[in-house]
Amino acid sequence: MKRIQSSPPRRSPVNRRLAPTRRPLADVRKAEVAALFAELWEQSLKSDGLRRVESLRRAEALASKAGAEEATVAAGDVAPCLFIDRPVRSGQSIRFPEGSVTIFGSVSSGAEIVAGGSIHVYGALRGRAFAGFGGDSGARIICSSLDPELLVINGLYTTADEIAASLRNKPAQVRVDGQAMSVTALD
Amino acid sequence: MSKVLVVTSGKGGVGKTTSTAAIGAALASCGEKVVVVDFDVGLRNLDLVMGAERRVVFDLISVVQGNAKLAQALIRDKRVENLSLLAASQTRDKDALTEEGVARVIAELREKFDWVICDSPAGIERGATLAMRHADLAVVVTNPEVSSVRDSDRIIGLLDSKTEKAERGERMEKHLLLTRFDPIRAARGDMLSKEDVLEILSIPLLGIIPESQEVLRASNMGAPVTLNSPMSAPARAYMDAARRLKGESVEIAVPTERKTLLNKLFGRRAAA
Ligand SMILES: Nc1ncnc2c1ncn2[C@@H]1O[C@H](COP(=O)(O)OP(=O)(O)O)[C@@H](O)[C@H]1O
Ligand SMILES: [Mg+2]
Repeated sequence: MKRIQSSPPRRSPVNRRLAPTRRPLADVRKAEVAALFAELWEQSLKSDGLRRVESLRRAEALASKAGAEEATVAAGDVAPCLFIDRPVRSGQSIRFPEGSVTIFGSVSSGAEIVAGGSIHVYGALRGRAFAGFGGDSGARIICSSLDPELLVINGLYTTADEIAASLRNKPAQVRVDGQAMSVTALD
Repeated sequence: MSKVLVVTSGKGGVGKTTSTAAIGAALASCGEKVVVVDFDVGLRNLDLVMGAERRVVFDLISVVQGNAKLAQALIRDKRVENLSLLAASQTRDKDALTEEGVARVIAELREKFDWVICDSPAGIERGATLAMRHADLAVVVTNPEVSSVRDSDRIIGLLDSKTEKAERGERMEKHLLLTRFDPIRAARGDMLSKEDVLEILSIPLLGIIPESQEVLRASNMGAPVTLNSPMSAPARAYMDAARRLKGESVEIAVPTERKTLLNKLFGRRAAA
């Protein structure tokens, strides 16, 4: 488990893909994740100054984009929550820095969820999940079946390779414990 | 009531064109009025599989651009009365397909046929999105391997967002057609199982088409496999899929390996 700088480095666009170098895989991975994080960060900064109303409007727009009756936004007093009532497919990206995201369905390999708060997946998590995006170390990732490409909580990340085989393809919870990520089975 | 069906997959070479021809011919043999439309501009081959390549004068682009009337471009099948083909152009640029033009042609086809079956090009670009644009339902053709499943998943995402039906807030009906299924390799665990694929894609199964020499033989003969060797395993599987599309409930058979006498003698095994 590695820590990514919390104020992300300036993004160099070439970093997005794995460069065909002989660098150790871990380094390449780290650079890639850092670049990705920086890109997401930049995008969220743009919406940072916005009022909460604005962010709710964005959430509603997002909800309607995801298919009117299949996504709804619950706006409590604290933080809004985005509900997605269908699977998130490869190539799709759900971005909701305003709050938590709950998916009723699986998140495919090649799909991505970015949430300001926690991420709940009532299905298999096979794609990438960014929780606590924007500084919340208390955010968690919870799913019915864990088989992710990448898990990130507030800059800390872990990849599929680092998750014990005994925890895979089972209900699990991912959280930050001190300076490390902890993955536990949910039974 | 006419239905527009898109046969799509994301990945190339999985069996879209084969399936379009086979299902189109199967539906037509049941008495439905069917047109198969080739959207694979620049790489046309539905006309080859239908055995009509030497009969193409006008094509989809001619009609879209208003250079020909639809009736001039429709090629009637010589074997099955109710079956027609609207070919793609090999020479023209795929940008020649305009959104309005395609909408107009599809609307016109809806009036003439019970089934308008659109053979999509590979990829997720313009050609593929135009082919699915006006569909009422989709057949997602997938091979039991990871890259094909991934691409199908991606295509399902587009079917749920980029089609007219999705934009109206309606749900697109999607069916999974598992093709080139090799029972021997499946038994060995070399391929994804039917259950794996269904679990990942989570759309209903329309049928499982076995990998078979008959498919290649039929396409070399210029005939849909359902017409060329109607009793073969792939043809029967396509026939059943067509009946399910019509709303009949037909049990789905999972292909199993079968030892033919000759193969037994030589110690080889073949797909039934
Ligand atoms: N069930 C099958 N068994 C054996 N070969 C098949 C089968 N389905 C398709 N093929 C072969 O695979 C190749 C690609 O099929 P095609 O229908 O042209 O795919 P697509 O239109 O998706 O690119 C062709 O050579 C075809 O004959
Ligand atoms: Mg094709």
